[in-house]
Amino acid sequence: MILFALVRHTIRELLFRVTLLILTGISTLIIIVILLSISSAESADGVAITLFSQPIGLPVPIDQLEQAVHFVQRSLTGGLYTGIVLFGIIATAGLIPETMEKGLIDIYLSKPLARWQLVLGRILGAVTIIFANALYFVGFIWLIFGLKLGIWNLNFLLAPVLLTLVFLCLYTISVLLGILVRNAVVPILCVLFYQVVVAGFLENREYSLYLLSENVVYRTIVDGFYYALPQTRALQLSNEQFIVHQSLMWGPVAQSIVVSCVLLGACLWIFQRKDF
Amino acid sequence: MPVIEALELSKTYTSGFRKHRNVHAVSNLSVSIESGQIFSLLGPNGAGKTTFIKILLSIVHPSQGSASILGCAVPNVKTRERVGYLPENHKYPGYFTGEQVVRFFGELSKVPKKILDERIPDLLHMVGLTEWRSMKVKKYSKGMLQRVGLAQALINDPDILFLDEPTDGVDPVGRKEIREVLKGLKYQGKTIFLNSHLLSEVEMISDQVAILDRGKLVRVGTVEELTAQGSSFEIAVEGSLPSTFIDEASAHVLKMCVRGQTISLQSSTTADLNATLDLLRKHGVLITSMTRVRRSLEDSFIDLLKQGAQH
Repeated sequence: MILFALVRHTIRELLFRVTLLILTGISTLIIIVILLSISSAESADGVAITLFSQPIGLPVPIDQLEQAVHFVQRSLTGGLYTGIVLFGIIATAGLIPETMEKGLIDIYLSKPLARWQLVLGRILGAVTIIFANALYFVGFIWLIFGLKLGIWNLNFLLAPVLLTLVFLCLYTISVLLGILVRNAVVPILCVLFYQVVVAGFLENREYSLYLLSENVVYRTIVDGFYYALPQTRALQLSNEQFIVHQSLMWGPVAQSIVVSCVLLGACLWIFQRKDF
Repeated sequence: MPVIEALELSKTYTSGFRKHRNVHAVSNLSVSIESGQIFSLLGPNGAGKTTFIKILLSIVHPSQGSASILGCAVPNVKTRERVGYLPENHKYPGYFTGEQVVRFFGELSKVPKKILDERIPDLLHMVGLTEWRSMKVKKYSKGMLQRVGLAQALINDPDILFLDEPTDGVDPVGRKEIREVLKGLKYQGKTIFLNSHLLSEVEMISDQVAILDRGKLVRVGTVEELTAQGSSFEIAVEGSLPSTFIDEASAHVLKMCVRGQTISLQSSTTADLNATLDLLRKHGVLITSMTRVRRSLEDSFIDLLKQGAQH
């Protein structure tokens, strides 16, 4: 009951955040645009997906329409990842530092709830609302393509789950930093830097970081970082490949779950030991 | 049986760049509070009053010593179901209304929904917020926030209530109302632990008072006990005092002042007081009345802190 109350309260709190409203607004706008404008046009060259009657890409043979839809869904998922990471982290990074504010944390901790419940309740609330956002977008897009073009891509429906996992990985980093520094700015900057720069370089280390040195120790350290830190980029790429019906890479999924659990454990341990 | 017990509690904070400087917020604090009392903790700013409450509520971890609440060693999550707390400078999420604040913290206190539905209107009425229950707390004045804070602290019908400056920012009428609420709770058998700077208020309602200075317990006792020490007497006499009286009495009194037919004196023991009265009788002076002039808690408090500073 306590955890449920905390999750509900967190969701409610997040619903008042402008950043999440913007994200939902953008998602809604894209859904409406696609709903009203997407169609298909047949010609002698094949069939093309159209947006406002304008073809997106070249016409493909009718039996390849499905792949073309998968490609569009894959592109939309890429955009959704960017949106969720950017807006989601900005909207939720303040939750823990705000909870730790003097005068509020005292009341929380005087109630019969364990400290881990407080942190977990906040994280679950944030993750729930991000999942709902992703599900809302992906669900509607899936329905629109299914109803208007007859392409029911079940693989696309995994996107909210994997996207939420990426968010969870990044959010546990944000929570850990939030507990340590008690403000929202440092976590936001660090997480965005990690996702945009660090995770990108690590994922493409063979074409970037490896080029800096051929030293075996150096490359082992780079690999160490790659396997120790959340593989959020790999997870995103894997998801995009899965949408176009390539096999899902389970390595990044398992690694991300393990790293999230370790980071969550660290958050709870530090929070448990803190004086307020 | 004590409901709150602390045994040699200490809390040391480290500060400075390399955390090598120690600040002793609470030092070897032992105190025992009986059920059904209003217990007040007094002390200047930084004396360790809030830290002590926070240790009892597991908001701060003690460096040394132990404490128990309702017979259970601290920390104990279950015990907190029977405790209410109103911290100093409390904050609530601004989008909550007053009623929602009380409901939310009631849910966190594991109060069933049905009981919350019944209790919330009563509590809001008790603290005088019925009219503003649907207003967002971000629009509340300081006094209104104190009232809603008191309501949230009482939502679980606690056996022990910790209040840190509960009347801070409340107008005189509101303060009186809060005092009446506290008296009513005491009458119901609740134990109230009060931190306050308003000594006159503490004096009015407290059963036990403890004075804390720089983390150390200076004195514990009833208001009478704390104010009795150093009390003075006014003795009204008939007839003229002999010229040698002041010199003779000086051996028995700490301070003495004669104004006409009234002698104001302060003696350290009852025996000294009686010796002074005997001296008056020996000189044939008729005593018509004797009144004990009680010191205020504020005077006693300041004296005790001064004594502490000298040591």
